[in-house]
Amino acid sequence: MADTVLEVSHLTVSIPMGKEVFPAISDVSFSVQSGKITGLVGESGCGKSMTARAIMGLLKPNCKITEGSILFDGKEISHASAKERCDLSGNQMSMIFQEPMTSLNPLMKVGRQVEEALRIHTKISAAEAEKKTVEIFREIGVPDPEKRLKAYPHELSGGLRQRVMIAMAMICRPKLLIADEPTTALDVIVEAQILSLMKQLCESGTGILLISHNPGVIAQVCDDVSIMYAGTIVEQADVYELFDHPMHPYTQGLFNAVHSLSEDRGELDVIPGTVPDITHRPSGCGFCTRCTQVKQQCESSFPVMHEPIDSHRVRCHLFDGKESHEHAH
Amino acid sequence: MSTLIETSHLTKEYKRGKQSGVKAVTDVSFALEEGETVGLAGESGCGKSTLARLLVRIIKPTSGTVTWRNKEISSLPEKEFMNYRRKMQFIFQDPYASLNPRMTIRDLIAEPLVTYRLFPDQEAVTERVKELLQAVGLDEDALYRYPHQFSGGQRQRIGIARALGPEPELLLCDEPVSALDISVQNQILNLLMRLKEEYHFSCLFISHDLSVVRHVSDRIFVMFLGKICEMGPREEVLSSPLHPYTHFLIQAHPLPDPHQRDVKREILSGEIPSPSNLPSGCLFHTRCPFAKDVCAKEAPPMKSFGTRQVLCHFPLHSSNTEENPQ
Repeated sequence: MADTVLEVSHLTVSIPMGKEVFPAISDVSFSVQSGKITGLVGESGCGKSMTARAIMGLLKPNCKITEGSILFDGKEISHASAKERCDLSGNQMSMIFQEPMTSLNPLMKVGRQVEEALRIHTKISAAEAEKKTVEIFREIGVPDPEKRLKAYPHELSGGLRQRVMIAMAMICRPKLLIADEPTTALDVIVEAQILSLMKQLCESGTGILLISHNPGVIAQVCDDVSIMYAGTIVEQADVYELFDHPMHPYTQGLFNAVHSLSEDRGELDVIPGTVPDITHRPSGCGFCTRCTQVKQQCESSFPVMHEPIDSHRVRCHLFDGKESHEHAH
Repeated sequence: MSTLIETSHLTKEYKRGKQSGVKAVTDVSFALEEGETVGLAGESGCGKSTLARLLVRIIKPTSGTVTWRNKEISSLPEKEFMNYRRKMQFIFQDPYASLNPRMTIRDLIAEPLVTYRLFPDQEAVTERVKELLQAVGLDEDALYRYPHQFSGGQRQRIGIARALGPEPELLLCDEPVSALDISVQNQILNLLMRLKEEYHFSCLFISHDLSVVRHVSDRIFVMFLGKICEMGPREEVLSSPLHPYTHFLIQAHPLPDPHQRDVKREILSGEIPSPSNLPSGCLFHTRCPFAKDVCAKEAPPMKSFGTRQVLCHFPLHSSNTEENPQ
């Protein structure tokens, strides 16, 4: 059994909009095991990035963690001080972002940027740091590493920039890597290259949280998957179980939408309507305005997480009273 | 079926002082039939958008010609060209950037109608705008609202309504759904397919996503570094690609099925060559695992196999198809 690197439970983050305060994400629970890839899927605005930022301690000052806990390697970090964060970030946990161009410093050679974390977190000579950087460039497939160290970000292609970002995140061999849409800005061939690199990285023991809007990407590399909708996790299972037997009407709708694109059908399957924005989320189930199987209680009461099959959880009133076993919370 | 628009040896080169120029589009020749939808696929920077813009002359070609129903239009004076431009309308990728935030929806959709003086007075224009809103599935109360009050999917509907206004015969869709969430993507694709049935326009549909291209297209063109490297009917191109690049593009497509991930996919390694420093011979030979000596020396000719064409010395799957006599 792999070690749990990250355990997020009942996380709620609130954000003020005007005079009111809205929960941007509510009751989010999942875990990341070392050497495994956990996927977080959802459409824009569902709270995926907010979750990642809460874990990394990168929330904007007006966003507050109001409930729940984030255990990293057994330690509570949801309200860690700036100093504790400094010790963790870039060292034991790190993050890569969607757009590699905007997250690299355009005025600094990429080699220096990759070394930075190493120089901060370990007592290491400049020559030694450069050697390690060349090593990691070679490991993640940057061609001609000695030369690339001295390149500026604008001199590199999108795929190479993303590799530099990954090198930067991995240089201190973190226990946890959060990848927020790492391939969305890339072409499919480069995407496939980066995904196979992620797989290779997790084999060395790092636990990865992969955030994506694309079920195709998730199906290719993840071990466990959580589906997010309107600020909460609506379904959770291992990747095979989830894709074979999706239970939540949203998950089913999402998968049908993707599948109908790759099969031959006349009209494509759609989920009617649009994602409710944060100030207009229904008080009951977030999906009730678009759900085809909506019942009366869906509009009034927020569904709890059910576990109709072992290790397959779903947050939906259709599964009220259908637990696989009696469990004491 | 007759040919609607045709290009011949269309080329766009950006000069850079005394240095050699950047070739964005090189020697592209194709014909688009009436009522046909062609999907244009390829990676970013391969010249898909430039090609579409060359057709409408948003960008002026360096050389080559564009023919509209057998009439050469690429050298027409601007005033005369306007008549043709009206028949080719654009839908853009980013529904946030392509709508002026300070204009109401009514004015946005009315703008082309006013520019081309299609209606006698403002009232008639407003009536037409209402009709268009209805056609794309938006309520009439959208008329006097502003773009920021709409979601991405709704904005793309507004963009489509604006494009349909002048009754185009060719709709150029430049990545119309790639900025949208999947559930909304399908709504827009269904809408486009339905409108196509109703209004009978031809369509050049640009997308980097092969599953989207596959769904909407009759034929598929694949571009690589400014050249079209393969053209053919959709199913044939996707099930038995002739060009190695098409093959790798299909292989890299992430399938939404975890059971297929253990099937060994062939992933192309390396990087796309820089368009300012193109390789000799076949543009793909630096990455092509099937390349032979001749590929580095000679640029391959466009070969025809029935309804299919490919720009390659050694096309895949070609043993069971006969090459057309030249």
